[in-house]
Amino acid sequence: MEEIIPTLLQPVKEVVQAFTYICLFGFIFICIEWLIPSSKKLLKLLFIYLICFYCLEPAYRTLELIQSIAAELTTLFIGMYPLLTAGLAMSGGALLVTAWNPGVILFSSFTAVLAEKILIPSITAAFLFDLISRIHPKTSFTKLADLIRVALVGTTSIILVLYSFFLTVGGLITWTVNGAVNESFKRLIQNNIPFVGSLLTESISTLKSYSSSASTITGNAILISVLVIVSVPTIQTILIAFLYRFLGAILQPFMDADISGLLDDIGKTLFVLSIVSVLIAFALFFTIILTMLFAKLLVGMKG
Amino acid sequence: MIVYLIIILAFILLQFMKESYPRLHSVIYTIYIFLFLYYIIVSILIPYFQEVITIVPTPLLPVVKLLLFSVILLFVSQIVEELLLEYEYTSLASMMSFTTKAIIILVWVNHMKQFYEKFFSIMGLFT
Repeated sequence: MEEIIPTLLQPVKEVVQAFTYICLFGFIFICIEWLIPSSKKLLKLLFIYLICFYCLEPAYRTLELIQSIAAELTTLFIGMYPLLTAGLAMSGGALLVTAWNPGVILFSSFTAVLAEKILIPSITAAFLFDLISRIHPKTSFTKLADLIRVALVGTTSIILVLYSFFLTVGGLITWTVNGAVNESFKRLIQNNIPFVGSLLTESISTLKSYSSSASTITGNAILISVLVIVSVPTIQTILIAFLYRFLGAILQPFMDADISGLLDDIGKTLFVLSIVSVLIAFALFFTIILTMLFAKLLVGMKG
Repeated sequence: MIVYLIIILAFILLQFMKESYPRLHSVIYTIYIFLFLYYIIVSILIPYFQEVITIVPTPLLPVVKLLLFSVILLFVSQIVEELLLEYEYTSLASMMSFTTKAIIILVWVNHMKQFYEKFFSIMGLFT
């Protein structure tokens, strides 16, 4: 926990720093514009450059983080899954486990590859299109960026629906949260996380239904630890996305519309990235659970 | 305060000059403007900016220096441009404006190398 909290808080610090930089440079540029009004356009361009230089660092890093996790996961799948499958087959108990579907292996590796090769580059493209639209409003790619975002959310929701097809609850309910509380919690997420809120709650439900059956294999404590670990990148991404949108909202009255709009767009794109990172979290979760299952079966066979 | 005083004195002297030696007036005026500009930059702006730089945090120092350089350049070029336009040298004025903008853009582009590197590294994600 001592390591998770600073990891989650680091981006908050960076975004607060970005906020200070924007306020400071905003004030300096307002003064300069007042002194030299004839160069307003040039000064605006320089200000956007400065914002890109100083304030996009957390967004870049998040994108790179998710990209690197996806890449490593793909390598892991290629190297580990044949071994895991063979191990499970050799131990002979794979098909006896409740709610076990071998298709999940193939499917989760497919989603990781899809995320790495198509979804994350598409988010990068949306990010760049937003940046170009704001730096040079005459060459506006806002519709294209929106189209990419909507298409990505659609793709991710289809994948999540497919995930829920694969994962059927084996009648073992270990999720002890009261149904009413659970439902209101879902509503809270749906209403407060813009753009991807409902999709996020659906993915949580899917993960929950799988964890109900997986907990019979691993036990609740380990399962919760695994869930917390795999959800760290997603939580971090959502946090950064929120902070960017918050920054855009706070700066709107004082700054140029393009600057607050740029921050808002980055926030939106990061929300989409967060939902892609849920897919990666799913795949990572299954890998860990399957490894544990393999270890358990191996121990059982020896015993 | 001293700047106001110099401007008022110069105005009076230039008016005298205009009445007594009207042919020399424009030359004297131009020389005076350049000398006054030099005085303002060397004895007022640069010492003041040097003082400002000392309170700027280190990570922001390169950008603040660049910003101050751009401001001084824009200020000088604007004054020279207006002078040229006053004497109807429009082409020279637009060349002056173009050169200033080109210098500022080049200096900033050079400074933003790190940003472009990041930008291209993001483009690398497509491959």
